[in-house]
Amino acid sequence: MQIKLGYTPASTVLKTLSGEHRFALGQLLTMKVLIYYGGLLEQQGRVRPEMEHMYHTLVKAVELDPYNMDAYYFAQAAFTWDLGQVKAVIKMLKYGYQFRSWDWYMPFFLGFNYAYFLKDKKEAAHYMQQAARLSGSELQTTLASRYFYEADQTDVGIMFLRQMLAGAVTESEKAIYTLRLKALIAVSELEQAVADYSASRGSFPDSLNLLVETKFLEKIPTDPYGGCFYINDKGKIHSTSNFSSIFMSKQNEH
Amino acid sequence: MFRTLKLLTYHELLRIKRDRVFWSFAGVALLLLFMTPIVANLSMRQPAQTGFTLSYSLVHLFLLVLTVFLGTQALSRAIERRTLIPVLTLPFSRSQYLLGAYLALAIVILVCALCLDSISLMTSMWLAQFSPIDAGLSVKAMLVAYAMGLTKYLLLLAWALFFSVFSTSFFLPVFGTLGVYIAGSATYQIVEYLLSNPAEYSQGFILLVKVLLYILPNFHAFDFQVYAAYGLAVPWMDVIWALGYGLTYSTVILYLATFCFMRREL
Amino acid sequence: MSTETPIVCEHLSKSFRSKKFKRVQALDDVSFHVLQGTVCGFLGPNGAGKSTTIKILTHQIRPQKGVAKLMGLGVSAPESRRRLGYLPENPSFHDTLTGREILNFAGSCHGIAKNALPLAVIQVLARLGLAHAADRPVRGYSKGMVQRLGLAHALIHDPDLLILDEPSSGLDPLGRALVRDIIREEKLRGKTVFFSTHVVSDVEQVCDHVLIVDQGRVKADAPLIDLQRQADEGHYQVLVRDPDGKTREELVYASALHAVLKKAEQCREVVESVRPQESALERVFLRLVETKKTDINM
Repeated sequence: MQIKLGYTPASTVLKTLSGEHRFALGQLLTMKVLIYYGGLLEQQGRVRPEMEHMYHTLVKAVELDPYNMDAYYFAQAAFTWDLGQVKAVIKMLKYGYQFRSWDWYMPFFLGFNYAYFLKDKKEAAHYMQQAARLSGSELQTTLASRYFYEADQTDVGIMFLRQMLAGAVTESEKAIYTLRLKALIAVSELEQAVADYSASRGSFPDSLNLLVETKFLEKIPTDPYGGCFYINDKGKIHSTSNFSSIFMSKQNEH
Repeated sequence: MFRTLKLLTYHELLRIKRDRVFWSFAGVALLLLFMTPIVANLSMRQPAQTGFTLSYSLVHLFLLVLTVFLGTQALSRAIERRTLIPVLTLPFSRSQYLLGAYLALAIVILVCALCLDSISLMTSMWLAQFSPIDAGLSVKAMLVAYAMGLTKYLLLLAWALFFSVFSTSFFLPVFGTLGVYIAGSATYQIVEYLLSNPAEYSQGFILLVKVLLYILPNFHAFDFQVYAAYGLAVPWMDVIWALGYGLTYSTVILYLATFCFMRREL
Repeated sequence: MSTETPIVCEHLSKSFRSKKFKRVQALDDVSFHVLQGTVCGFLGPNGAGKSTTIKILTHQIRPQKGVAKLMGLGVSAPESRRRLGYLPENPSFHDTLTGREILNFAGSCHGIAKNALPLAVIQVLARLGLAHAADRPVRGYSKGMVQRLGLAHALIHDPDLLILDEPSSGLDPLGRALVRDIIREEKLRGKTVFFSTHVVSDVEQVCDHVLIVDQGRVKADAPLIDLQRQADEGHYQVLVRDPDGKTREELVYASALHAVLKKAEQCREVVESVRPQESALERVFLRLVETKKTDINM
């Protein structure tokens, strides 16, 4: 199967030529990226993703239709975790928030990205407050405070994913979130075991197998992305899959 | 006067009703329109918006084809095939004929727009049920968007007849009308791009560019899709302004077309 | 019925730009009148300016100079065509419409009342032998049928003036006879008929007035009888049978005809037939057109 996204013309050109069809064109560009991404997932890392093209196509899509929620939603779901383009996503979300000023998802994503990926609690709190105000729900408000003042990083991720999963509609969305959630729960379990181990032994374990041998862990959970978990010298949990079904092969090459 | 117009309009309508090309275009448009929900369901967060923008685009693409096809065929093909001679030598003036032809074509475009827009409206509303968040589609704004889209094509139709008056071949009317359409769609973006830094230009220059923008014409003024799709507040002043602009512009072009048609030798 | 002169043309001039930017003078100071109740044949070779004149009269093109009037009204007024029935040269109709639909439209435009229209349409279709094809789309008509439909289109509202451009073209002998009958009928009913043709015999058979044009100029404008009188001496073909039963053919001048017949009688021969070799009008026509050609040569 030929998986290729290819280049799309500059957005000024697209905008000028598409006229009244720019909203439809924006939507179709987003769908092109979605379908391409779906193809990438099926290929399980055998194809090198056209990162630049994907990002620029989405940027063009939101320049054509700055209100297009699919584009922001997809950027948040795919570019942050799998592709590690948090700064680019934040830039896109900030642009979109100017237009979708009523939509609590925009500051919610921004807040989460600042908290989870950039560890900027101040910015995160700023956006989370706006998200809570826009959504007008108690849950949001309590979640927001718990995210940033109580929970650790992995728990923030788990809570975020649980919330996204609750709001997901399509099967593919649910699958993406479920997979990621499983991985984070596994990581959380391992982190707990590492924390217990270091609390009683005063140092990090050299390997994860040691945790099982010393009965801090029943068994090493499987990585749903197909990699193997390992612990680095700073006691952090990683996986050979890099928690990405797209970047696995790249990781394996190293 | 009105009797003649009615007769001419009816005569044109009868002709279009028998046109197989027209019906095949309409069939393709309907087929594609009924397929938009399938595509729209690929959307993760906004199937209703996708359904609306895709079907809006499709309907207006069809209206473009229809306007160019009917508008250029009405006169230039009738002149080319000399079917206009027995008609024009009946006791009415050429301006009546042109107005009658315009009315007939406008009615066809109106009816097509009504049918297709209502399908677009219904599929979008149906898709809105599956929207994960409040769909935000506004029926009122959707009706405005459809109506203004139609106004735009009635203006383009006047241009099509205008080009048709000069020519016996399809070349000038078809490409002239398409040229106006492309220019009209692009002007706003070009002007926006040119004047992205208004401080660099004098007030007079900016005014001149804006006047030129509306003369070319400015089709962007008729685009209210975004208000419909995302439930934004409809700027009613803009709607009224666009309506007045479209009406005035069409009248002027039709008048020019008549002026030239009166002088044309068959 | 109007007492106005049905057709008035005064000093019409019209030139066209042809290839290589040459101007072709299609009409050069053409003036003529067609009087009420006459059948006027408009005769001329191809390219003489017949169609141009008719197009000016029906307001399809404008003259550069001069005035054209129908029924006393300038041709630019749509009202001037109110009582006109016009047949274009090789008429063409929207081919998806049926004959009945086309005539319904024309009849309504001419102001025939809604309840009188169906009858008028059936009558005119029957008159032209098209009743069987009334509800067929014109696409399926033969060339002759389209020409007949064109005539029906011109006659639907019982006009006072008929302008017919080459009415017999594309018709078979039956159709030609039908056209002649129609012109005669219209004349008997006091209507005015003005028709163009390049066939001399058409004119001789039905016209009482002849207008000859060539190279954009009027060459003759006179009653048919007057023109026939102007004719040069023609030839006659005489067929005689001698007492032995043998037949013999002789070609003689008109002036010698009397002597030839007398001689035949003396020899007890039977004169089977005496036929003019060409018509008087044809001779006038050829002379007028040829004169001009010598003019140009000089």
